[in-house]
Amino acid sequence: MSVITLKTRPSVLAAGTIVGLKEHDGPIGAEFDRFDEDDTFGMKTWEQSEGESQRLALNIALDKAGLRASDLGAVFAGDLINQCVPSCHGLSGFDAPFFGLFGACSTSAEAIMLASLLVDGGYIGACGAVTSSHNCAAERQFRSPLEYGGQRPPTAQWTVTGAGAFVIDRHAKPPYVAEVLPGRVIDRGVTDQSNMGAAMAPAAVDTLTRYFHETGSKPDDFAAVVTGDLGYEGSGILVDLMQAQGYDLSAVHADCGLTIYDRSRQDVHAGGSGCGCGAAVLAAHFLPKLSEKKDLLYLATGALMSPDSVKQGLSIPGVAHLVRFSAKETADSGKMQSEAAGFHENAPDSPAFRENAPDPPAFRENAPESAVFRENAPDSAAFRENAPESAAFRENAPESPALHENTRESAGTRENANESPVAEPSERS
Amino acid sequence: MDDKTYQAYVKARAEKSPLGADMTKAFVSGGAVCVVGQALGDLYRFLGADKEDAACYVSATLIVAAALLTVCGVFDKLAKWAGAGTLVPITGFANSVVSPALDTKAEGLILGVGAKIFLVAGPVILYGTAASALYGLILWAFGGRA
Repeated sequence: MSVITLKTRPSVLAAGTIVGLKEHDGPIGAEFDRFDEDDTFGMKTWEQSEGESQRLALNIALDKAGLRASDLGAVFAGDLINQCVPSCHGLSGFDAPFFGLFGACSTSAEAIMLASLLVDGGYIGACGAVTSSHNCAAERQFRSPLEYGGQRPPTAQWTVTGAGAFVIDRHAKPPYVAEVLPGRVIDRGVTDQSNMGAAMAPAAVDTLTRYFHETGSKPDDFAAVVTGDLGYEGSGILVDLMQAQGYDLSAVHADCGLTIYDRSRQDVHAGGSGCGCGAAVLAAHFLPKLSEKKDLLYLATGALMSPDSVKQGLSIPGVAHLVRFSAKETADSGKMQSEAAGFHENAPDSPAFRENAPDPPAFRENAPESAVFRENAPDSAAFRENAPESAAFRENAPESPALHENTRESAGTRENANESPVAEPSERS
Repeated sequence: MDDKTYQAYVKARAEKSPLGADMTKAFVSGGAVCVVGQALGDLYRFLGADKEDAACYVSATLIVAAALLTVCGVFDKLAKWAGAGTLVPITGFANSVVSPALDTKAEGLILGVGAKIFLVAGPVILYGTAASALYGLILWAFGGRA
């Protein structure tokens, strides 16, 4: 298993984020596109709320990208709840092929990775990647009833309410997806459900060590090595174990679970978790900071378990998927080229495949057919007309990038958005 | 590092619950619940109930109070501070029945609330009943009188 270099460097064309109140009150709360004051996103059950957060996040990303759902060749989506019900229901109105993913909290990187690979291979034009988590839905499923009066140990993490969506498209503008390294399932026999960081950290060490070893790079080559939700415990373990492997992460490591909350005042114990955590923080906080100077490694880790597997005494394996984001047009530094060449030598199939696959432009040329398909699919058009909430959201959405900058506009937007249950961040800031 | 060493390392570095503080809070809050219970008992006795009835009224009052606090979303916040202080008295039992009922009402009155209301308290009810049956048997076998 090797690092996969994406020859065409697909773009993260746009990203959309939406979070709950606690996340909005956190240190980077103002950086998320939208938030909801009561965490319900206007829905009846917590599972529906989580699905709605995915729908809203993907709509925000699509609006920023100037695309419609039908422009997406595929959407990869995932969450933590039974059979990915929030993803299925949240995205059921989208006129785009759907892939449901489960990689626990690693799903954000998994989705970005699969989307980028399909785009890079020329099989699909634009592709969506959206993941979510919801504190109340996750508590209900994995821990105890919401109003149950129990105490949590200091190593426990707080599931983030939020969703992050990415639109991955062919090479256009930074940030680009430069390389990916899929993770392996690593099981070190951790059984403590209240210490997910310890269950996931070995997987992060495995993926990261393989990455540095294969590419010959070192932590300092990167602006940051961002993990999804290792939290306080898992981050400490990661830095310790990487040190033992000869890689000093202490200066470059950041964790989305430790970034989204202020542990000293928000009572979240070891930090945030959930597949909405990594996605939302990466999209809102880390990717916008990416510069041409140094690339960014995003490593989302997942604790692979179900409530029953834990009760049956099974350990909690982890998996960590790595995505390298770059603002550089090409892998032009000498070092990067030699790495890429080295990789291709070891994987002769890949260039050969590419030579035989001049399809990407052809794919686009053939794309108008999809428009024809839409014409022949009046149901789908009807659905759109019958989906006024979504339409209302869309009408208001073009201003959303400007919301942070201009409060007055945002107030106006709010007045027009009676149907939207979600408050604009700038109203509170 | 083999798995056993890793697990030991994880356990050693994990931040521990502040046992001293937790126990002190549990002692104080649990004691406070008992004081309230005693005061209620005295009140019911004063109002004319006999000793046995007064005890039943006290239990009922604490259960209703804990259930109401759970519904209002206050109990879990109190319990977060109090820990075993609110868990061990009958208030904890009330909370453990009401909280799943609230949580599962979206799944309906039969398959949701009806089937899952004893999600947390079920083991206490099952083994509590079984233990009392066993105790009854022993009492019977050794000639005691109920």
